[in-house]
Amino acid sequence: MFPLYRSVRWFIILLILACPALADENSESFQELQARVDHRIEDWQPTADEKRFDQICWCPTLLEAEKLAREHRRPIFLFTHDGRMNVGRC
Amino acid sequence: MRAGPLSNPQVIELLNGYFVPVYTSNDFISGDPALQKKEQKERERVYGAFLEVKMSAGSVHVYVLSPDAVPLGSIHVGEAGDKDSAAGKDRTQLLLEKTVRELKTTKGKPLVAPHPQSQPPKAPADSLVLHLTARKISEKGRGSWNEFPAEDWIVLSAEQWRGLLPSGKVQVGDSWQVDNKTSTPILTRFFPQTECCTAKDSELLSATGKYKHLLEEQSLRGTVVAVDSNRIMARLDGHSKVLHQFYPQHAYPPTVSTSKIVGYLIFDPAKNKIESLRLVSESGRFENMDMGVAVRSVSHQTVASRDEK
Repeated sequence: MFPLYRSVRWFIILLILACPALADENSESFQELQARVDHRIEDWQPTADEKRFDQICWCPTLLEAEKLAREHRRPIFLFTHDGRMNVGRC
Repeated sequence: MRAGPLSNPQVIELLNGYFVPVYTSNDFISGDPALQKKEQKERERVYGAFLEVKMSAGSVHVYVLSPDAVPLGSIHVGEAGDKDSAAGKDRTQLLLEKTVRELKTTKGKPLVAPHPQSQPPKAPADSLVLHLTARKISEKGRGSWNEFPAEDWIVLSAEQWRGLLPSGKVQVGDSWQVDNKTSTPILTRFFPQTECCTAKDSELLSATGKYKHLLEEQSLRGTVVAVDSNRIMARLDGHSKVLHQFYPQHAYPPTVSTSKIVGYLIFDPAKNKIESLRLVSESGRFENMDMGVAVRSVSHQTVASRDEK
């Protein structure tokens, strides 16, 4: 009898614990879900501080940079790298 | 480098006012094939020119050239952010200042307008363009590879994105499993910044390549939660487990990124068109760190107004 009683007791405890989570998911309206997801997306976008190198007026190619340098008598700054620095996969 | 000297306000001011700044990826050149060939040839000439005058040169390197593209100075990336204790400036700033001084370059307006460097790729009008951000939350800003998130631009063809939608007529409560073929291009990128030594997805995301990249587990399920006159709103739930070697060809086991996923899909069943797709990770983990991944669809108006870097 005792093991059965214990099993039933645990079943009830687990049911009580699971219900709020299930209820939470099922009772969330689409508007609430949308607001929750949108808020998190907004939070995790790159910040202006993380994108400070966007303030640099980058020339798209080395050949174009050399052309502009000759025309305007300016030195060239060249950084060569692996991967894709612009998206942070580098 | 991006979070170091290239985020230093003094360096930014020097580059915009006195230099023509450019950066290049070692295994990627955009543009038509003829131009790519010329660009590659010039990159090789510059590298050789620095070696010829016995200045440092390398694949990940800072170079400064004269207006006629003659070598003036160079710094290895590992030293470019080092501070000179006396001057209180990093080595990149010191090299730029020295160049301006010696060439007597006068300050002028930037020669190119600044623009976001992460741009949506050009894509067919009927494709679905997604932007993904993956960041290490608990390590934000601390140490290398934690200073900023990784971003990806994902283009799903019409055939691919249609796989996100349920087949046939649906009503509130109906649910469907998204085919792995459709979810793979999205969920395989649910991992944060690591050392990526290639710009080619075919290498970076290959299970047999240097990164031992593998989307080991995945699921994505849609459930209709609301219907209005011409739109269906669905909740998306899923999970992902991505294995990825942090350093290419490293002896350590690949890193593990896991995420529970929640999101939503708004679509017009009559027009067979996705209005919005959004996904976020919940309890995301990258090894022992908290990770956040966010995916959002981008309108084609945005895509049409931008060019690929």
